[in-house]
Amino acid sequence: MRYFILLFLILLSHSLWSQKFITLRLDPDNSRGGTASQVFDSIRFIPLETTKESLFGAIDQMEVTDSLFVILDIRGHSILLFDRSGKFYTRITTGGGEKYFYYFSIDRSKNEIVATNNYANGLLVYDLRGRFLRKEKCPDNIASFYHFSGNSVLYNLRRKGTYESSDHILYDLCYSHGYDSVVKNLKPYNARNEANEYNISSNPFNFSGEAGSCMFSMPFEYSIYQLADTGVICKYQFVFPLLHSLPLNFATDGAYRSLRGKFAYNTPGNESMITALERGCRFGDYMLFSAISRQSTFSADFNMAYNLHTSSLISFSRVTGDSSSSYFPILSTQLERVDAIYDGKIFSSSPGFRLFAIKNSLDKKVEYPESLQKYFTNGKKTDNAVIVQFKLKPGL
Amino acid sequence: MNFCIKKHAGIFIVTLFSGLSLFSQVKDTTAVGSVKGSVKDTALNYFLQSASVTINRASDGTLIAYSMTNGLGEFSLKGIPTGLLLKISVSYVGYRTVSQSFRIPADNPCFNIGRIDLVKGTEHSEDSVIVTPPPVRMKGDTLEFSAAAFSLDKNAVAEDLLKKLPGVILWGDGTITVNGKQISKLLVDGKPFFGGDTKVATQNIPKSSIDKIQVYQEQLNIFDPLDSTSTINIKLRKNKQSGYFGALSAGGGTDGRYELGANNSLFSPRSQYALVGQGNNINKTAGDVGTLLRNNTYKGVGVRVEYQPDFSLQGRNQSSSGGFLYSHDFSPVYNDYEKNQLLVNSFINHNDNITIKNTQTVSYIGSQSALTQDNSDNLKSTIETRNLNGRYVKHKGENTLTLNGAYNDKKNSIQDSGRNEVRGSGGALISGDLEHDSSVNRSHAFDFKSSFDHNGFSTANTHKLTTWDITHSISIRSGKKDSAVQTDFTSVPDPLLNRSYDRRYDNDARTVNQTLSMRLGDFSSWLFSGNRRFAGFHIQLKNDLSYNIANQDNAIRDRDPLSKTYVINTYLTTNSRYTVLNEVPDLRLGKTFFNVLANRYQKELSLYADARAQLYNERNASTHKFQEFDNTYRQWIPSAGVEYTNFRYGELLDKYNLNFDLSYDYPTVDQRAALIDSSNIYSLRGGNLLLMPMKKYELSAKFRHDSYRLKNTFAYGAGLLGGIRDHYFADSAIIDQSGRYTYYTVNLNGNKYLTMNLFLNKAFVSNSHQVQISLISVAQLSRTPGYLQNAVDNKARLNTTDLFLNSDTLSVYYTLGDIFSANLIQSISYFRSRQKGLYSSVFANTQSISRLGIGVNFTKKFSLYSNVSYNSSVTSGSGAASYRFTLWNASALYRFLPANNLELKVSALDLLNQNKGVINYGNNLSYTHGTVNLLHQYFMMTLTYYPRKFGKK
Repeated sequence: MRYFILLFLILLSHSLWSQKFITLRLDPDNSRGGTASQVFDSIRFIPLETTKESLFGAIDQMEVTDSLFVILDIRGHSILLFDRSGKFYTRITTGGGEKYFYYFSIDRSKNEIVATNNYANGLLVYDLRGRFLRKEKCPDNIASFYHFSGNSVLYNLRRKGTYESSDHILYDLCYSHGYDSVVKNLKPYNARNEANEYNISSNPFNFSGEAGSCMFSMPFEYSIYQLADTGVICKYQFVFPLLHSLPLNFATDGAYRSLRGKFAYNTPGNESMITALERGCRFGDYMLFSAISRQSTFSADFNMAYNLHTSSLISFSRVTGDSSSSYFPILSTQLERVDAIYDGKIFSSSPGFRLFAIKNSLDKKVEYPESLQKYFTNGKKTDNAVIVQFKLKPGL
Repeated sequence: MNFCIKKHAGIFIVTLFSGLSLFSQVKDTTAVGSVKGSVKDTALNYFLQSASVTINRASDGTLIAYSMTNGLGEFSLKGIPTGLLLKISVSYVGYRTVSQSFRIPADNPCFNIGRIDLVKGTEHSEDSVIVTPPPVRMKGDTLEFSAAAFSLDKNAVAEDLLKKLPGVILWGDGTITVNGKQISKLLVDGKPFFGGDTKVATQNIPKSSIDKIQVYQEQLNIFDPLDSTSTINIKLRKNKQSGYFGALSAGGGTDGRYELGANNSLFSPRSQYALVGQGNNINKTAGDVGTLLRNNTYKGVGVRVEYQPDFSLQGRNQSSSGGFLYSHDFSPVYNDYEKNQLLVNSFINHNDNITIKNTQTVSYIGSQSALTQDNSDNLKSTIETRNLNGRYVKHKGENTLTLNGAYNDKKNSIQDSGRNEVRGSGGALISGDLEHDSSVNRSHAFDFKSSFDHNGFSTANTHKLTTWDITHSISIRSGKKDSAVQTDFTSVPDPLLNRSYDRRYDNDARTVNQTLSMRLGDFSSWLFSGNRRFAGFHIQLKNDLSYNIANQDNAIRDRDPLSKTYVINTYLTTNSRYTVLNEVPDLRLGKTFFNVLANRYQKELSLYADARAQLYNERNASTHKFQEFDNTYRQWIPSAGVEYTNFRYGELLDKYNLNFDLSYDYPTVDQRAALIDSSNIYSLRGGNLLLMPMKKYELSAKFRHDSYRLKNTFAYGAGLLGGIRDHYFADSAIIDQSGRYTYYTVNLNGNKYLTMNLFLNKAFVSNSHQVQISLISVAQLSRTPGYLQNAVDNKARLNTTDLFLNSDTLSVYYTLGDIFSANLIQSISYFRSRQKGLYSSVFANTQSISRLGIGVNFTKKFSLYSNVSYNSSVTSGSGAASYRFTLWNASALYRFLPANNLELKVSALDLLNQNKGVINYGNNLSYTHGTVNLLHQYFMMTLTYYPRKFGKK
């Protein structure tokens, strides 16, 4: 009997370990704030060099390695490489016109940059010097992907815009051995009820901040999945107050078919509803994420951190800058998001015009770090963005 | 490619509102200190941005200063009196308002009040007394100004309150800007007020009826930062949402001058009614209800007077008019997503006119020969028009139904008697005539237009047609003209040409015009979605079909001298039916190229081409067989163009446009097959059945620059339009020995035209000084061919007329707060006509008007207005002449009664008595100068009462 109970406990713990389900109840209206020195640690500003060759539009996606910042600027048709001090290294370009890169991932075991695109019928592979290596075949309709070690790739497949006439089951995720050998599908959906009615402003994959796993979320759903190369290891289910919530089963209920986009993005009165969770990632005890809604004021709650131990919720729009951040706010609006987590640090960015505007509006004397002093003296508001590197203090 | 654009919308809104951190503060003249502090929610540990901070005098609550906290939750207010007991109140939506008393010590004028903590709750103060709402607060995306926080004169109106709001500027020309951006609409309780004219709302609604003024951006398309509008909404207090206002006036003056007016407007939350009427003999004309409402507001119109005596109107005029306006909202909701509204208005106008004109026209008919025609005319006319218009709009979500109906009725009675004498080059009399015309013209018109628009919501993944619209319009007109013409013509060289006519006309015309228009598109997302090669393509289908029928029944009778009865003129009496079918299908293909650097600029280049065809069929059936024709034309009428837009965030917007168009104009029935009415002695027109359609090649180029810098706006632009017409409808004129002209229309190549225009607007504001400068310049060049055959050698010769017109107007508006306004306008027009071919001659005329208007408000009750215009007209070339006169009008106004709603106005018009009725113009072959009677100096006293009541008490 004892052995039976022990076996049962081992199996139970194994299943719990193999897939966790955590419900997070959050009320953004009662989220906490603070000052930069109370919330952040080790803040560093790294301006990205601005020259004719290195000028780019926006940081749509960023990955960090030991020596590089790798930045995707979709509308600029480019992936740019800067060294960790912000000096420009090189630019990979699609050639312009109607050719775009949409997403990239770094295969850290091979030191390769792999990019999705709309013109090459396959993934394009570059080394960390920006040189083209080869093209790789891959499944059709890739939206984004993630490299695990051991030659395993996790793909997010793009949903179609049209509906099937029958109850056809399709999948959002699939695992592949190498780039073109799908071995397992995940996250099914009924094509009759669900299709592509959303406008993603960011990519659904991100580092989790924990080795060997990544995070994934879909618009209209309040779930963030943590995945390893074996499958889902944790599902974070978010619950918001009614005021901020889409109707129950909004993403899956066939009654909302072909009405979701208009309801979420163009119906008056629905501005406070959270329509998507993006850039979910783990940083120690914290779950960081962005809550997307139509509220566009600067004080709207957008980037947040939830402490999984204490259940406390911090909204970064309520964290005011102080001398430790040179009075700049960090992660406070849609313009400053979590771009990457690497080596125990969080990386965000701020566009040039925002920094100049804040600096000019301050009526205090501020001691800027040397990197920012040079930026403000020699630069202008149309220069490249500035990377902000920091950590979160524990126990918030 | 939608995913980056949401950011841009946010940035745009940021740029618009970031300037509001620089709030103007009410200055107390003894202020010597400053107050700073911060506002925090300690429970949630965060500093509140955009919290409202107000400082009042503790003793009487007078507002001293107000501001909002910045991004660090801090505030700083300067100009605060020291030593005085003050009260600071801090409020934020969803939190309890906190107030505390304090005093700035004289020895420490930079006072740090420290941190003020707010706690969640309702916005009552800690002692549960409802406090005055803060002067300004941010509620979501809307900036709200509370009217109660601003103390103004008891008779102040909405306009006076708007002038106090930071970032809001009311310009001299009537536009309203918020942080440099012109507002697209001004609403009252979320809806347009009496047709949407801002002055009717801002100059009538008392400040005491206003709860708050809201300023917000409406983003119509969340994916396009340029597609947003600024709106001001005046929210009325709960018990003031209905009321009435109006103006009753009566005035009398010298020379039998009078003016009367009555306007009354009533409004309630769902309905608005206005009743207007006026009568005068001082040339004040109004064409619609809106003009009378706009120009009879309680506040008064100031220097820029639109509805005023028109001293250039010919003749003596006596007019009376009236009308009403009614609007009703069937649904309580009225916004860009949903509305259901009916608007009806009606206007009746009666005008009696007596014009006495004496002119001389000189026409060149050869290198050494000219004809001079002296004309004297005595015209008496009565015009009566009535119209009724209705508009219904139902808009819900993606669909909009609009119905427009209009009925117009016009009766025109004219009696005209005149004499003409024509002399040759030596001055000898060649011919002359005496004319008496009388006619009564009645016409009715009914127009109805219905349109249905569907604007669907689409994303990159929408695979269906989301935009289309269809419009149908029908217009039915009928006109009846009864007239009698008596003419006695004498020819000196050939008395056999002497004629007398006593002719009666009974003309009846009925037309029915119908048009059906459709627009379908854009098809490309449906057809090519996801295909990279076809990205940026646009495909639209359009179609316009019109069918017009014109029936004409003319019965003409001539008096038989023997029987003394009127006998049918079988040549001129006719029945005809003219129909035109015009079908224009159009396939528009376009491609747009984007060059975007996120947060810096957005550049778009669009190329488009219209593959457009025209099927045109015209048919005329008549009792005279020689007037009948049936022509069908199939034409290819393509169009192509380029558009380039450069938008720099927070800086500027440049738009360039180049367009080429090919089109055809078709001859009218009269140009093809007119019946020659010989009673039009000096000007006969014949038809030409061989006329071909005129082909027009036209190129246009436009440029516009708008600067988006806050406060001081700057815009300029230029345009060019040029074209060539092949088979131009030119005049072929034959002049006989008696000086009578007979015209035929012929096709001739060689017509060219070019129009250039440019404009510039610049505005400055500094404290209470506002200056607006605007420059408009237009130049036109044209070359017109024609044939001329004179009685000297009876040979038809090609004659070309080159015309050049240029008009430049510079206006400057200056206002100093509420006290003084001035308006200076300088306008110069130049006209030159040069003939080449049969003879060479040049006729040139320069007209210049310099106008200065000044208004001074000495007190709230007494104002003076004066405007002076110096007019000059100089003609050079043949027939040189010059006219100069100064027109000076002045008025003094005084308001009585505690509510300032009784006004006495004393006016002096044309003080210098120099107004001249000068006629001076030229065209292809002749020029005319002369005099006409018009309004002269008079003095008038007018009393106006403004009845008003807002709310039940």
